[in-house]
Amino acid sequence: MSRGRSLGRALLAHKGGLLGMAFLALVVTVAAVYPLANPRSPWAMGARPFLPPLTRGHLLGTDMLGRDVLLGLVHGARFSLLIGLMSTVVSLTIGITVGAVAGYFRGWTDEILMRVTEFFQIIPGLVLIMLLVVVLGPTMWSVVAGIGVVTWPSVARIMRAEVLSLRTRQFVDAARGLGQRPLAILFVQILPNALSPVIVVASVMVASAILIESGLSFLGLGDPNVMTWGYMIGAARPFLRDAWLLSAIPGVAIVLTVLAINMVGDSLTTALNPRQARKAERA
Amino acid sequence: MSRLSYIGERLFRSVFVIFLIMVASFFLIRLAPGDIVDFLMEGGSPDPEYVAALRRSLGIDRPLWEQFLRYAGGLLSLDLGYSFRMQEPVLDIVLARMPATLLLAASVLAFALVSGVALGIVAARSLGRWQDSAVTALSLLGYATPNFWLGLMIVLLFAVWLDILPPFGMTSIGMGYTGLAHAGDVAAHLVLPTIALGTHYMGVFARITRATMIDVADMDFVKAARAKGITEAQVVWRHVFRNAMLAVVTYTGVQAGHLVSGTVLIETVFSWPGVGRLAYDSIASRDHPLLLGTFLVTSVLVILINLATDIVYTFVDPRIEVKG
Amino acid sequence: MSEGPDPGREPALLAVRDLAVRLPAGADRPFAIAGIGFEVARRETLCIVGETGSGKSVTAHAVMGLLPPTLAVTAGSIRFEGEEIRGAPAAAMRRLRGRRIGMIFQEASAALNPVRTIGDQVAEIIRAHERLPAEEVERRVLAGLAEVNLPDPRALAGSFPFRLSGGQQQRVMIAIALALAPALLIADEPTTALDVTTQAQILRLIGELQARRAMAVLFVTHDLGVVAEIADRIVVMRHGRIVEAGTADRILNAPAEDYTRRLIAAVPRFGGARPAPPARPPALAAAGLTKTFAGHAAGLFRRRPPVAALAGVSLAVAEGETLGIVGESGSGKSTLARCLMRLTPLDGGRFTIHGVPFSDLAAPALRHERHRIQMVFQDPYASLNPRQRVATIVTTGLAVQGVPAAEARRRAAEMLALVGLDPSAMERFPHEFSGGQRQRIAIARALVLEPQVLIADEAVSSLDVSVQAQVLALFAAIRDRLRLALIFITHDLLVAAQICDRVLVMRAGRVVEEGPAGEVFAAPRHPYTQALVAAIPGRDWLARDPTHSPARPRPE
Repeated sequence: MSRGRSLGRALLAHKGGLLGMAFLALVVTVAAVYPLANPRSPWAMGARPFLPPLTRGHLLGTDMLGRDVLLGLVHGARFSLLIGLMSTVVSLTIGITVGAVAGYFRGWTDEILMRVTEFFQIIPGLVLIMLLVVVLGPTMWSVVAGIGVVTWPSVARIMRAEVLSLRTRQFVDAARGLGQRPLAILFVQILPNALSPVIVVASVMVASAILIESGLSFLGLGDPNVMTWGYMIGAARPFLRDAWLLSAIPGVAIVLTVLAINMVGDSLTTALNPRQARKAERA
Repeated sequence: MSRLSYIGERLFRSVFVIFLIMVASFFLIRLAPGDIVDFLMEGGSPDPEYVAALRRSLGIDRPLWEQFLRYAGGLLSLDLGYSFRMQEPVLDIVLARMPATLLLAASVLAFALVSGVALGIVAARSLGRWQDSAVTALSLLGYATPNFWLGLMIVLLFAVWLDILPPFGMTSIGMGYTGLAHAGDVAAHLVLPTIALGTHYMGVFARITRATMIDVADMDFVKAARAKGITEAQVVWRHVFRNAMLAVVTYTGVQAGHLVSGTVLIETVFSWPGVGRLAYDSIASRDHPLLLGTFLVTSVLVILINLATDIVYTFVDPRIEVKG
Repeated sequence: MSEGPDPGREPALLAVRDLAVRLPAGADRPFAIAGIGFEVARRETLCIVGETGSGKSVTAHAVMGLLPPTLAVTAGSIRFEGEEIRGAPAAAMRRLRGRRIGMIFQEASAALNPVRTIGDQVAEIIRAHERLPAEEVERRVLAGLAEVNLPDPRALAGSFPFRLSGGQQQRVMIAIALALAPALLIADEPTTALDVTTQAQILRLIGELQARRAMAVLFVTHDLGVVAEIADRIVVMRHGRIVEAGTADRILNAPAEDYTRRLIAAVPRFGGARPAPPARPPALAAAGLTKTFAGHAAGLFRRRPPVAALAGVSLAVAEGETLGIVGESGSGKSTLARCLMRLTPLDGGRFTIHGVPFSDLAAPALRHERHRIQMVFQDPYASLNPRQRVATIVTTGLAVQGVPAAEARRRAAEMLALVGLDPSAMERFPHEFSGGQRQRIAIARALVLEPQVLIADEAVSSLDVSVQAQVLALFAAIRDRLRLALIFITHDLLVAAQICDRVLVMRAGRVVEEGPAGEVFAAPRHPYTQALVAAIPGRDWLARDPTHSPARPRPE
């Protein structure tokens, strides 16, 4: 029985994970296909404002400026997922590198890197991102960089803990005894064994990146050229009393998407390494 | 002695992190176009003489390391700059807003800890039954719901539709409550923001409690405790719970920064007169010295909270001295 | 398989009949134990002995009603003091536990709650069953700690478990288990994690208390030496069933069942040493090796005192010879292995391998010469990378030496055949093999480089005794065939006696005694060696020649 197949089987056996994956597949498909069928800009203000849902041509109605809500939702899905994925890539790149280097070389390298990690972990992340966005200007890239910069510490800590424990394993000693070079040991012996908890964290990280981005957009600090769910909630907020659905609908989209990702993450956790994952959750 | 040296080490670490904050903020504002003064003055029309004096006192023409020393020196003498919008020193403004934020954070933490730990225990004691599934589902939902959106939705429900709780602010305007009535008024205003921000942490604490209770319950010393013939409630309370709480204490410290981030959104949604709302307003009014000031002060606050949890930890875990 | 009632004996304290415990779906067999029956009389010691997976621990935990929730008793009866306790109400079981039946565990360090004081944990069991004034509880706590020979009970009662040594922690557990003078003590491998001298002290302590309290003991162990030391009667278990049961004398000296005979034959014993091989030039020669570990950091501003792991060790081993290095934990024997492998840097001293100054080689040259000395590690579950196929594991060293891939594979396959594995093993992952097979893979990985010196660091100590015997035989065979210099590091004197030509006895970083294995163990000169030899459990029984034990015919 190969590892890959048993992992796949474990994932399929997990009902929540299956459900989560199905929902995500749906979101991705709609986000990819719907704009092809309906190539209008989500910012286009063609229709009458405040049309209720189930109106002809506007399945979810229109907002206060007469923009189609469904179209906004679909474009929001594109950018929420995109920003979530990109900032996770940033976060993983920094986190894996810092964690692996700190754990493998230990000593002063470790001491300094871990203090820096601690710094990024405990400062109020959203305030730092706000500062970054103000300094760098409100673009998608500064948002991605900001989220990446405040979320990498948990990856680094888990990676470091894994590498620290793996480097004292006997199979690493055995590889040293065979004369394998330090970098080869890090890449061939240690990293492949350290990846499962990182995969789990990565999935959760996409979810939290989506949440952070929605908060930024809600505050009006996102990229003004990008339609996102957070922006939709923020823009509709003054009309909460009279047109609450305009705030409620994009919120439900966020909840369902983040929930789906977390459920996939949970099933990955169970499938890959239950004990490790519980630790990761706490780190 | 060992506890002292442990605390000394944590203190040293905290000082180092504060140093990092100064370095980071210094280089962060240097990323902006123009020099520091341009950034600090952006959008305002300050007195040119003051600008020139500021340039001189910050030593803009001096080498980088000297600029940093002056900057750091200013911070260490508690000079966080001056807000032109508010016509007041930044530190004074931020400190004046601090109590409201601390009140909110404490309320959130209390709500989340009590409800989260209780739910976690319930789930761990009923593994595989419906209570467990319900708690798991609830905490997953808590994880997945953006706090600002939850805030809007409960305002809609409790303040707009049911009209039983105030939708925003910290006190009722123009009522002039004093004493107990004032406290009750503030408490009523606290309910919705606490739920909005606390639900996430409730989910987190429920999950951690559940997971560590299950972990600890597998351990030999729990089996050994059962072998003594003590009641199941005693096993859980004396042996499982206390060890499980170690993880919760650790996590509380780590999450303090996250909690402060959350107050920015929630204070904005609920017009809560705290530091988070101040940070948002400072961006809206392009008051950069104030924004930087809120960052610096909240960061130091979080470091102090962490230091406090580390110290609490030494009383909860006797092994602290062998950990290093 | 259970014994019939014996009219000569008083009614049993504990009587187990047809006990069965089901395993959760997906396990390798449906039942953890099935058809288990035995009796324990008052004051007697019954040993349940078996290898990994025999179900011996499950049996003990089932009696105590402490099975994990995934395991359920599905059939049978457990009668204690004449009362049926299988399925008894929780409250009734609670009154029994601690008061009438005490239990001690394998890892005392794990069985004590880390965040509560020793005194608190002893007092807890007293308070659970008796209403007493606080001073009386305290008096009994201190008396209990004194009775298990712990020094300064008052100070100890206020301290936390991590401050105590493993032996002291097990004494505390015994004090807890016996605080209320139970009629039965269940001991689940209580000495397995301890050094041999500490083990002897704990076994003696249990024996003394048992005599003083007129208590019965149900002792679970894998170690036949311990069994020979303490058992009145023995139950031998395998694969969840009882193989045979009887008096200690009959089972140990005239086993009826084939499995029991094999188990006993596999126990290493003195007298196995072969005649000294002809003198040859040393393959490895070391002089004055020293290594001091800086104290562990205990906080940023404090360090623990430094530990001298090697305080001037010299040794030589010739090709075709086996040098045993024995000692207890903390003796420095594993540090010695790591220093010889150049995994840990030496502070002082030099060593050569066939004249090559191995201790002085710098990085690039060292990489080229590493094939001269190889090592087999203790834990075959940790020493093989779980993500690599056996082929990769075994050929990595050859790849480092620059051997072409095809050639490396050919040699790896040959080596796997030599250690007794099928060539199909090449494409499989470590988790698909048993512990003994994994250790064979680890041996193949070391041997494929054709080393001149092979270090085995506790290489058989985690294996069941029957597998241990096979792997020991393999070591001896390859040593003779490849004319290896073998350095065999072990805490187990019997294993050393079985395979070694010469032994070094180490203590606290120094060699306290050295000589031919037969001489050192038969007539130890240094007091420490004498203490080690005296502490070997069941050595009187082991001294008998197993081949001379009368093999009785099986009873019908």
